[in-house]
Amino acid sequence: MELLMRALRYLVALLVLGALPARAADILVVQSSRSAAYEESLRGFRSACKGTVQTLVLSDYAEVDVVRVVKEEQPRLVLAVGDAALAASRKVDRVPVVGLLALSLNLAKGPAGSVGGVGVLPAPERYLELFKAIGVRRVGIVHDPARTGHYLKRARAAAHQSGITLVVREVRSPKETAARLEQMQDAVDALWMLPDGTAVTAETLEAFSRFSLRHKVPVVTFSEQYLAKGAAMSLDIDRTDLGRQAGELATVLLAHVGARSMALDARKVRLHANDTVTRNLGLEIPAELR
Amino acid sequence: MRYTPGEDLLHKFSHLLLLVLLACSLCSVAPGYAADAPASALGLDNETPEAAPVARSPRPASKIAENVTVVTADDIARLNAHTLADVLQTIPGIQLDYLRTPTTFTFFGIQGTHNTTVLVLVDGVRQNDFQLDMAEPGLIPVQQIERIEIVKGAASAAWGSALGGVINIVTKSPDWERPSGGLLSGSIGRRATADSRLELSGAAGSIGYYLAGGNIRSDGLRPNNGTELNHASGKVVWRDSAGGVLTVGGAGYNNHHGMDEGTTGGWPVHDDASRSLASGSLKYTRPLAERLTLDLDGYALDRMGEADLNDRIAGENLPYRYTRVNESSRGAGARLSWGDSSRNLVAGAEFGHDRTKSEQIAPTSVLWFDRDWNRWAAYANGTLSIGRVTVLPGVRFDHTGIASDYTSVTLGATWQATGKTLLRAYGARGYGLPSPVQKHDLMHVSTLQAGFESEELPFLWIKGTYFFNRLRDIELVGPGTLSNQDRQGFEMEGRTAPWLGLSLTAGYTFTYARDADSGTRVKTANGQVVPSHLLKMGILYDEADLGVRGALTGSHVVWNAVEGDLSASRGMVWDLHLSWKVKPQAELSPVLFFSGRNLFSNVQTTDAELYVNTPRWFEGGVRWNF
Repeated sequence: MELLMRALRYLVALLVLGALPARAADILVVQSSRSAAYEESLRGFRSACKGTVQTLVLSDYAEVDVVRVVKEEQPRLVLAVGDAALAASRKVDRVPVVGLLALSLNLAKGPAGSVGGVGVLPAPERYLELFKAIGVRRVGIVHDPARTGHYLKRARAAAHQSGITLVVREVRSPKETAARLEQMQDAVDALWMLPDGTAVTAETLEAFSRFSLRHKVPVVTFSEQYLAKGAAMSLDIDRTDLGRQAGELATVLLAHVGARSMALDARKVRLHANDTVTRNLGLEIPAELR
Repeated sequence: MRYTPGEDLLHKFSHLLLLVLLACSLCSVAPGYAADAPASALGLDNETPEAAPVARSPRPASKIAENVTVVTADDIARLNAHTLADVLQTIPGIQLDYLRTPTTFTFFGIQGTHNTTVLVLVDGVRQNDFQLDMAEPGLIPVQQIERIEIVKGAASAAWGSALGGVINIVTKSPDWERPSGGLLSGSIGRRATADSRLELSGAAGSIGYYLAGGNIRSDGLRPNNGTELNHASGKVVWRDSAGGVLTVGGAGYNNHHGMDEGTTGGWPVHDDASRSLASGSLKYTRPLAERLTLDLDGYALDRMGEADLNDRIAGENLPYRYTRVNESSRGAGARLSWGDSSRNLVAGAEFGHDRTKSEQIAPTSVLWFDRDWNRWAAYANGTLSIGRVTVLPGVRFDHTGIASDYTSVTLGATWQATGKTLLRAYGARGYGLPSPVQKHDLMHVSTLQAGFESEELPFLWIKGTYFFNRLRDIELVGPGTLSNQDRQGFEMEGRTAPWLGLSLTAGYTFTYARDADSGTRVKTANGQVVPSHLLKMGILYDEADLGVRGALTGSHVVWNAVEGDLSASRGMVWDLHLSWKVKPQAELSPVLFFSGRNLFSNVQTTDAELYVNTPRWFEGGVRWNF
C-alpha cells in the first residue's frame, strides 16, 4: 500500500505539472453516417476551423452514449453532423453543440440550451426577395408546425415587413396536402415548398406539380432536385460553405470560454431554375439573381 | 388462483393485449416507411434506417477503469419500471433479495456486498440513511431519471463512503426547445396496483424548468403489502451570460405501507410503516478559462420514518412497539476540473453536518439515539494518457466525524490494445461508514479489478471483469457482528447488435466469499447475502417504424445458503414488457404499454417465510407525450 501511495503522489504531481498545454481533441465530431454530403461539409468545416478533431460515426454502432463519450473525452465543443447525430448530442450540456446538415435544426424549434449550429435553409428574407423580384405578392405554404413551425414564424414576420402575404395551410399527415393545396386556388401567386417531411413526400410532389400547372403558379423550392418534378425555381444550399460557416462559429466558440452556441441560417445559396417551366409561366428572373 | 370479476376481466384483457402486441411484433419484418423526401433532396437520406450500413457493434468501448453500467431514461421506459428496484433487477451483478409490491421494502446487493455499503445519490444528494447506511430502491421513482451510473466495487476515492459501489442517479433537464411540454402516464394492474405520473418541462429564454410528480398505490400484491407513495421533484435552471449554469432543485416523497405480515417463529405480526423525505439542492457550474471549470453545490435533506409494530392475535392487532427515526443532512462542496481527456485533474472539497435521532414512542417513550456530527473531505483525481495507456489515479481524505478519519486511494489504468479491444484494471482501498448506533469503527475494503471490453467478434460486444475484494471489519445486518472476508469472482456481460429489431443481452456473475479468519467459505445466512451465481438475460425488441418496443428479461440467483436457511431460489424470474405507439410518426400519439411480471411465479428471496416474491401479475397502461 505504501508503494501505491508513493506512485499516486508521483502521478498527481505529474498531472498538476502537465495538465497544460492540452493535447486531446478540441472538437468531437459526432457524425450520423459516412455520407458524401457530410464529407463535403466537413471539408468546409476543416478549412475554417483549426481545432483538433476526433470523429465518432454513429452508424458504426448500434448504440452510442454521447453524454458518456463527452464526459470521457472532454472535448471543448461537439459538432453534430446530421439529424441522428444532433438528436444524440442534445443531452450534452457542459460544452456547446454545433449542428450541421440537420433538418431538425432551427426549422421546427428555435435554438435551445447548449445546442445551435447552421440550418439547412437561408433566412426567410432570401426567399421573399426572390418572390418580390419575380412579382409575386401572395405566397402559399403547406406545412406541418411540428416540423417547420419555427421557420414559418420567422417567415411570417419577414413577409409582414416586405409586404408579401403568406397563405398558410397546416397539415398533420401527407394525405392532407393535396386538399390543403386545392384550398389555395385563386388565393396565391406562387407556392413556397419547405423541407417539411409531412407536407413534402414522394407522393405529395405530384400534387404540388399539378397545382402549379393547373393554376399557373410557380413552385419555389429548396432543392434543385425538384425542378425535374415541375418546380420553377430552387434556392440550393452550398454544403461546403455550410461547413465553413459552422467552422467559423466553432472557432468563435473555442476562443471565448463560456460562449453559447447560436443558430445561424445558411448564408450562401444558389438559384436554379427550370427554364421550360418559367417560360411557360411567363416568369422573368432578373439577371442579378442568377 | 382465483380472481374477483374485475381482476378476471383485467386478466383476460392482459392476455388479449399481449397477443395483439406480439402479432404486431411479428409483422414488423415488413418493409418500413419510405425515406424522408426533403432529407433525400438535400443528400442526407443515407442516415435513414433503410440506407444506413449495418451496425458493426452494439456500443463503443469505454475508457473508464472501473466496472460501470449505465442505464438511460430510454432503457427505463422500455422496462415500464415503477421504481429503481425494477431497474436494478435487470443489471448484471446486482441481486434483489425480494421484489414484491412496488415501493415496499427491498434489499439489494452488488457482487455480494450488501446495500448498506452501496452509496446511492440523486443529483449528488445522498439517499442512504444514517442508521443503517442504506438506501431503499423501492422509494426512488423513475419518471424523473435521465441516467443511472452504477459503479461496482469500492469507489471511496471519488465518492466517500462507498465500500460496495455507487448508484449515481442524474435527473432530467429542462426541454429547452419549447415553452412547455410533458408526459401524462397511467397504469393499472392486479390488486389495483396503479402508477400515475405527470411530467412538465420547458424553457423561456435563459430559464428552463423540469417538474415531475406522481402516485404509486396498491392494495398489496402480497399480504400486508398495501402501499401508497406520493412523490414530486423538480428543478429550475438558469443560464447566465458568462456560460454559467445555476440549478435549483427539490424532491420529496411520502410513503405509507403495511410492511410485514407473516409468522415468525409461530408468532403472527402486523406492521405498518411510513417514510417521508424532503430535499433541496443548489448547483452552479461555470467555465473559468479554457479547460477549467468550477462547480459549486449545496443541499439540505430531512428524512423521517415511523414503524408501528403489532402482534396479531386472534385477528386483533395488539400494539407492540411504535418507533420513529428523524434524520437531517446539510452540506456544501466546491470542485475545480482542469485539463482534457489526455491529462486532467479534478480537485475539490466538501463539508457536511448530519443528525440522526431514533426513539421509541410507545408503549413507553425511550430515546435510543440522538447524535449529530460534522464531516469534511478533500479529494483529487485525474487522468494521464501516454500513447494507448491511460492511468487514472485518485485520492480522498475523509474526516468522517462519526468514526476515524480515512484516506481512500485508487489507481486505475486502461490500455487500448486494438481499435476494438480495451483492457482495464484498477486497485483501490476504501471504507464504509458504521451505523451510528453501532460502537465499532469504519469498515475497510481493498479491491483489485481487471477486465476487458471488446468488439472484435462481429455484431457482439462483450465485457469481462475479475474482482477481488478484501473486506475487513465489515458489519453484518442480521447478527450485528463484524467479519473479515475475502470475496472474489468474475462477471461477464454481452450484447448483440440488433437484427430485425431484436437484440440479446446477458450477464453472469460468479462470487466466492471466504472468511479470512477461519478460511471457510461464507454462505448466505441471516443477513449475510453472498450469492454464488447470478444470471441476467434479456431479449430486446425495437421497431421504430411500427412504434413497437419490447423486452423479455430474466433473472436467476443461486444463494449458496447454509442448510435450513429461509432463502429460496426456484427458477428464473421472467418479466415481459411491451409498448406500442399507436401512430409511430405522430409526435402526439399515445403509447400503450403492458407488463407481465414474474411470468412463471418463481421465487427469489432470502426469507421465504416473510418476504416471498409476488407471483405472476399483469398491468397495462397508456402514456402520452404532449
